[in-house]
Amino acid sequence: MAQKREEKILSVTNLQVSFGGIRALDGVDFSILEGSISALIGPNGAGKTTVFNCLTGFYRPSGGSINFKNSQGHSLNLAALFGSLPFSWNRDQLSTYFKYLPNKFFGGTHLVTRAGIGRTFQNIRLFKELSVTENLLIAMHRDFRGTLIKGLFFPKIYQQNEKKQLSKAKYWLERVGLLSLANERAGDLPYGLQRKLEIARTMCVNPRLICLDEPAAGLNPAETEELSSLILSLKEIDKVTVLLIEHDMSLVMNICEQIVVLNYGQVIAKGTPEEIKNNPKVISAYLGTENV
Amino acid sequence: MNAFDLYIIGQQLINGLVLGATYGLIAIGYSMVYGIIGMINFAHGEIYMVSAYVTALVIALIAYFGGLPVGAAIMIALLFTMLITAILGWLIERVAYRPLKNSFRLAPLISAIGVSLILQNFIQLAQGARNQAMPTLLEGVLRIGGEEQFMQISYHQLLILVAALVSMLSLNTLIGKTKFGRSCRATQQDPVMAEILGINTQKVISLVFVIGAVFAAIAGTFVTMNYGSFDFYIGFVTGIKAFTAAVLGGIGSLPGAMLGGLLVGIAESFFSGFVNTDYKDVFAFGILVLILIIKPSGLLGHPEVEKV
Amino acid sequence: MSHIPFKKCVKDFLATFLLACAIFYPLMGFVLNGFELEIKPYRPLVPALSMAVIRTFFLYGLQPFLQNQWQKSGAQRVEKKEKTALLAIVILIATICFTLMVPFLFSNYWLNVGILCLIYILLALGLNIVVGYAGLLDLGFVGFYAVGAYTFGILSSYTGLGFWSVLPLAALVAAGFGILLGFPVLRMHGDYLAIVTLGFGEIIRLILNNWTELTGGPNGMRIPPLTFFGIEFTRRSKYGGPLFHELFSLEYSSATRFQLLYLVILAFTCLVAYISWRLPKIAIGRSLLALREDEIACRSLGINHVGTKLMAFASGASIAGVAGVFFGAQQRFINPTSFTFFESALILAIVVLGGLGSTVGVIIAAVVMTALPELLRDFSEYRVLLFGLLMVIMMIAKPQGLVRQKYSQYTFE
Repeated sequence: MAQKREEKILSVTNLQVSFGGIRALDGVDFSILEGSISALIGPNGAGKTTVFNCLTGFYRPSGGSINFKNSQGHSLNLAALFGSLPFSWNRDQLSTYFKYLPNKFFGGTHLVTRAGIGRTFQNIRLFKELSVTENLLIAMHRDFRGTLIKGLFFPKIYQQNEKKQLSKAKYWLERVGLLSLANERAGDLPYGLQRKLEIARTMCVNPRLICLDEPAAGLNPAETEELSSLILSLKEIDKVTVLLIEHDMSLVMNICEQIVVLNYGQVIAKGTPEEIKNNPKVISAYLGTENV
Repeated sequence: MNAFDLYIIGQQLINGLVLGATYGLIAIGYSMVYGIIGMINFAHGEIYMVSAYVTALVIALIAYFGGLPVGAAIMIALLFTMLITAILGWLIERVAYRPLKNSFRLAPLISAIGVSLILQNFIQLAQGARNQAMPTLLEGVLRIGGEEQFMQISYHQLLILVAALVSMLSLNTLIGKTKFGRSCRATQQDPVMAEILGINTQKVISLVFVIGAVFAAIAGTFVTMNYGSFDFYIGFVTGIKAFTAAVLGGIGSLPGAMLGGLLVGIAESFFSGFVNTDYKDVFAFGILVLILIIKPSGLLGHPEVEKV
Repeated sequence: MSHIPFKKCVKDFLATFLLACAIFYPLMGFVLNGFELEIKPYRPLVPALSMAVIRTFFLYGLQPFLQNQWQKSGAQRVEKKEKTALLAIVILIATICFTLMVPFLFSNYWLNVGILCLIYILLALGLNIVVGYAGLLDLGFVGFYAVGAYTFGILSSYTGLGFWSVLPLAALVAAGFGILLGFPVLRMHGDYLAIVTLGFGEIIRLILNNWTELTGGPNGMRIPPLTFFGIEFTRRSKYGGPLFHELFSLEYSSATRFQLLYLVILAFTCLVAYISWRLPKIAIGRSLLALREDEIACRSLGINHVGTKLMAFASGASIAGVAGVFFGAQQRFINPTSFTFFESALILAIVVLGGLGSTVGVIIAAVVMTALPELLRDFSEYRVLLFGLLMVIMMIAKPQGLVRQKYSQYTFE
């Protein structure tokens, strides 16, 4: 058990992203251990969300690589999911290059999610006009493969099939305390519950790594408290690795085992909360320094 | 290549420039409105169509009540058309778009399509479905070249070019140098912040619609005088081509709108002159589709980064 | 409470009246007739006055009424669910019975109106999948309708295929076009998508109009008469085969063909309506709705947005294609003027009026918008004006449409 915990689920090497000449990320390196809770912190504009967007396939890095350990235990280069692996004449690499080439046309962000990386968004992105339950069912759409004909013309059989997904939805609604609001319009929920629903929805895609983008933003202290126990339970009960971006330092210091600090698109420090707290570089990044 | 070909090419270039200047004038309206509230004012082409009718009516009215010098008649027609379309532009914004500010994404566009249908059908009912005609006011052409090989530009065409130039320059001054222009640019950048800083953004939006309508009216007036023939359906195709111009130049950018207009006009003129007249509209629509697919930010626009 | 400020009322009335006059006088008071001018000083007064009256009424006359309405609506929220379900079933059965009777009760003229109604229902349901469910504003929808009709025309005149074999082919061809045109617009949203699809629709029409060798250009194409799997409906046999009325020992009637066509379209419409009603309740339909709500969230949840969008385009297009075949079979003649942008706008108006995403609403709206102009023939020239007004008013007053789309309820034991 102890040995397994040491395995890296995600390693980011020399990640580079630039937008029209501006280097948003400049050689970011870090890795995350399986089953841990880690945080990505840094001042505004440091490139935290850009890292998330690369991890979850919304941006294509202009350099470097992201390797993710998939459920079979193989290391998977995320670039493969977009068919944008670097080309080389090396025999092994050539075969993988051609193996993933079709993804250039048929691949994309959704494959990253299917590989096991789920995410939430800084500004909550729920399907506002749909009900709470429907939000969760959409996340489970993979479990409904091949049910088109059944669903259209044999509603009874379809309902039988749907039971499994509904019970999973019920499980998550209970976990986040939304069961009594299951048929409400998602956009009508109060802000704190929307955050929780978004996390529940992401959990419904069975991720092995969940990336939470400022989950505590806009929450009051009591809600933040609930959130931190929810995040801890994701780790304890669901055995999910958690990576979060957060500005609420007390939350970060309380629940995280590892912290990566970004500034100006570069990693300036990584380590345990204790180490980070006392790191002069981090302090100067947040508070500024007298002698430049 | 001999001189004769050069003259033909020159002639097409002149035709294209004139056509492009009108597209550019109409494109200003699309571009400004899109820049400021992010919607395609689908009814803008119809404003151009209405202005053609108003011009013809005013000229006919002047003729009916006894003559004026040609120059005065043109000036009166232009000013009156601008006034009427300005009111129309303001009204459309007030009635059909302003209430939809907080509605869902597609609502303003659907409403705009409704307005466009209303204007078309209204003109059809009020003025009849027939093709209308207008007498030529300024006879004569300017000829460049010899007896057999020459290119020519009519005084009406010249008028369009001059009008486009003058109105572009004055708009540039208006946007770049005046207080209104500053509030306009501020509203385009960030409407909420502009509002907080005390800019009456609603007034700015209204005025932008009025300016767009007035520019369409300038185009409508001079084009009607030049071609002398129009119907209630001209707004649609011209509107789309002008929109193509706005997109080609980079929507939201005023010099872009004019540049795009000229390019679309010249391209269309060359295509119909040297390739195929029947497919010239297909060509224009093709340009539109291609730009939107390949480079939706246009030539002078800023590319949008997908925000996650 | 319901005190009306008289002075303000008059002021608003006059302002509206003057503004309306400023627009209506130049454009309605004088009519161009060649180079001549007719002056009709009283004509603009009617619309200007009525506009002023309507505006004043809405501003001041409606207020007390609205307040009452608002108070009432609070009390009406409690509904009996079983009763409405029963009522819905009764209405559904009655509607089906009525629509089945139509061909045998009404004259040929009304039968044709019925066919047209069904065709527009099909088109509106098809567009509803694209716009209402997937949120992709398609202004070139009529292009796929044209593709269907012309597939029929071209296949029948060049290969001699009949209605029945063309039907599935047209659906496939239109779906192919849907995917073909869907590919380039995958990354586009909202207004830009609308304009590009509008461009595609116009390009299709212009090509049909100009490719004279293939399509006959503006002169159009003839469509062969409908047969019953090769059996003719004519009084005398043209090709020597058996005739429908002889085979079924019926009396010959020119309506038989339309009756059959009506029933075929009705069956197909029922199928499409059922699918469209069922779609949001199953996984694939839900991904469409999700795509409409938030594409980025969709991608983050592992939904293949490319495939989902293309599916929406393809299914909408194939329904339009089939509608095009029906249209050809009814008219027996097609030319590009039936497929202008105005048709797209009309179908969009139907979908908007019925409520984006609401199957029942869209069907009702399609029937109303198609049948109403036939009933009010005297006002037929005001039809387009009315559609435009309805589109604007609906967007302002009731953007969710006449019938609001409801999401499915789930109960957990």
